[in-house]
Amino acid sequence: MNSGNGTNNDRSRRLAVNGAVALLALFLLIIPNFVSLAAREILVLIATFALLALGLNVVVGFAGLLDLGYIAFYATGAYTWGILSGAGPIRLPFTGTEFWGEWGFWIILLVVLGINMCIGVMLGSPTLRLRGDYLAIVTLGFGEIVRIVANNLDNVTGAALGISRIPHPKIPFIGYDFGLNPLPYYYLLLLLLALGITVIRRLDHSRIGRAWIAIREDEVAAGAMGVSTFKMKLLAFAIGATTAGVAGVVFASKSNFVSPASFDVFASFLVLCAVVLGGMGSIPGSLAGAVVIVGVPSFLQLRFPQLDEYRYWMFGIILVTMMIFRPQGLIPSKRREAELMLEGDPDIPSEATT
Amino acid sequence: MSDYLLEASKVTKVFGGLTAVREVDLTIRPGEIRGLIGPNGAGKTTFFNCITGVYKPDGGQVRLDGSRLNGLKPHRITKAGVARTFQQIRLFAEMTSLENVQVGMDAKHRAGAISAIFNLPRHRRENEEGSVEGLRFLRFVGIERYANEPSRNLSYGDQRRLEIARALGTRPKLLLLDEPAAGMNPREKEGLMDLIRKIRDSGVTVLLIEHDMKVVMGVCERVAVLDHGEKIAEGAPEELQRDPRVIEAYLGRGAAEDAAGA
Repeated sequence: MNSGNGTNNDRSRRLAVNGAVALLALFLLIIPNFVSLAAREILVLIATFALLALGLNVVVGFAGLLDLGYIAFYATGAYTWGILSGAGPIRLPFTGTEFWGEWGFWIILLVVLGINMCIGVMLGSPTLRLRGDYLAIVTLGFGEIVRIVANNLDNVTGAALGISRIPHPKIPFIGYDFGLNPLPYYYLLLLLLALGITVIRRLDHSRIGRAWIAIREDEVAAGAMGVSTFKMKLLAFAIGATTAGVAGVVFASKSNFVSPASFDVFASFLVLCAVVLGGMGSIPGSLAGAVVIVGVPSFLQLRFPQLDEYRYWMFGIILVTMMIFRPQGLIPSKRREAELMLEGDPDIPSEATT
Repeated sequence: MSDYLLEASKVTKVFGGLTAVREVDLTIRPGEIRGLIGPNGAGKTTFFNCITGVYKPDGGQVRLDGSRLNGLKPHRITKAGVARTFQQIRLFAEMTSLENVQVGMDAKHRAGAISAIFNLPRHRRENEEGSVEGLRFLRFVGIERYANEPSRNLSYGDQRRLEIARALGTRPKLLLLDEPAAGMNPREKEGLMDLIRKIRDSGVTVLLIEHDMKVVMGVCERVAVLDHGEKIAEGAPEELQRDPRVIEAYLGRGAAEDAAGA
């Protein structure tokens, strides 16, 4: 009935959305050139958290698995680069920057995908048999185990002292060193975010995304409809783990130092807050959540250093206010509407017409 | 190999000290609409859950087209050709009606994560087919106009229909309906009976749990009666209405004697 009009509307709406995304991308690309060094550092921090939130959104938002130990995968990513770059106390064969040269960071970025996927599957296969609260408690425990292992494995992770002098990335051939300048990290993170968003969006709009949402909505019914629930939950877990691992590698190379202190439970909660605040199951939501959760307090602190003591207090106020007035999140998820070719079919009796 | 689509023999399920289903035999030929009735707590839904793998039976065997089902995970049983609806509606509330059906249809799809990430032809083809065919299933049950509506917004009767469409989406050989008429008004029940016949005519065998005797008598050729977890009778609906064991199960011993005396 309204199909002709509808497609026209759809087209103009899609044009508007694409335009807005292009403008936002342009804004993100040029913004660091207009702000101070301190603000650039904050931008890197926000982008790192956005990558983390993007990954956790797959686990919590799509598949509905409450993972309270998510930061463990960020840690394994960071430590992987720390150890394999040769900066740690242990030297493995065929590793280290002198072996890999300028390619090291980029190779490890790929290696971490594999390693973290394995770790995700290893931690996931025993824990994902549990549901709801039990899963939350066990993942909380696993997150702590990873941190405590890092804190005690002296000759691999450097224990509480951590690993320092982790090399910065270099661009092969032209030999550009990222150094301590936040800008190249920011652009690298934007690139990784764009890549991650593309991959996760495509999964979301496939049978895998449908299976995740089905599991979140009703696991028993999903199983009865042929969804291999365990495999799909494991996949969500592994994708979350790899995303966090990539963020971890960038973090370690930027700060050139990792220690267990960066990976406590609070960090897990912070990422979870970003996802919940932004809107569970919504990709733009979790990114917006990361901007608010990390950006707002950091910029406030930059402007009003005296407010630092009230940081978490304000944080709490914002969260409670949000949960009261907009519990579905900043940018709630919306199921994609299919473009339909409705055919009139007078044979079918319908209740709604009477 | 076998004349029967479903062969359940001596299916038993025990919860603690309670035997919810005791050595129930049930065989269904292809193309039948079979009824399964019994008083509340007779074990009908438990029997369904044993067939579909939600519970592991403690004894007995379930075969579909001659191959064993018991011991398989629920999603494997669905892929083998048994689909079901639920007594309490269990739709994916936040998903649109069409997506609900697509989840069912994905049981037959094979594109994996790599296909989806790189937007490979198989993924595109299956997604395309899913939305076209999914719409066809919605039309089949008569709720095509709600395709883009989140399923939680549908009326009760339409949600029941959507559950049937979702189950049909898995392309089953055998469809198990668990009290599909519950909560429907008489007009909706008429429509449901037509739909059940239409499903059978499309080549799907139906096993129906139902309390509403009008519906059972209206569509089923044969009916099995469970009471206290045991099958106490089986036959054509008219025979069962006179069967003293069935009357006793539903109305008590006195009523059965009255009926016999009359």
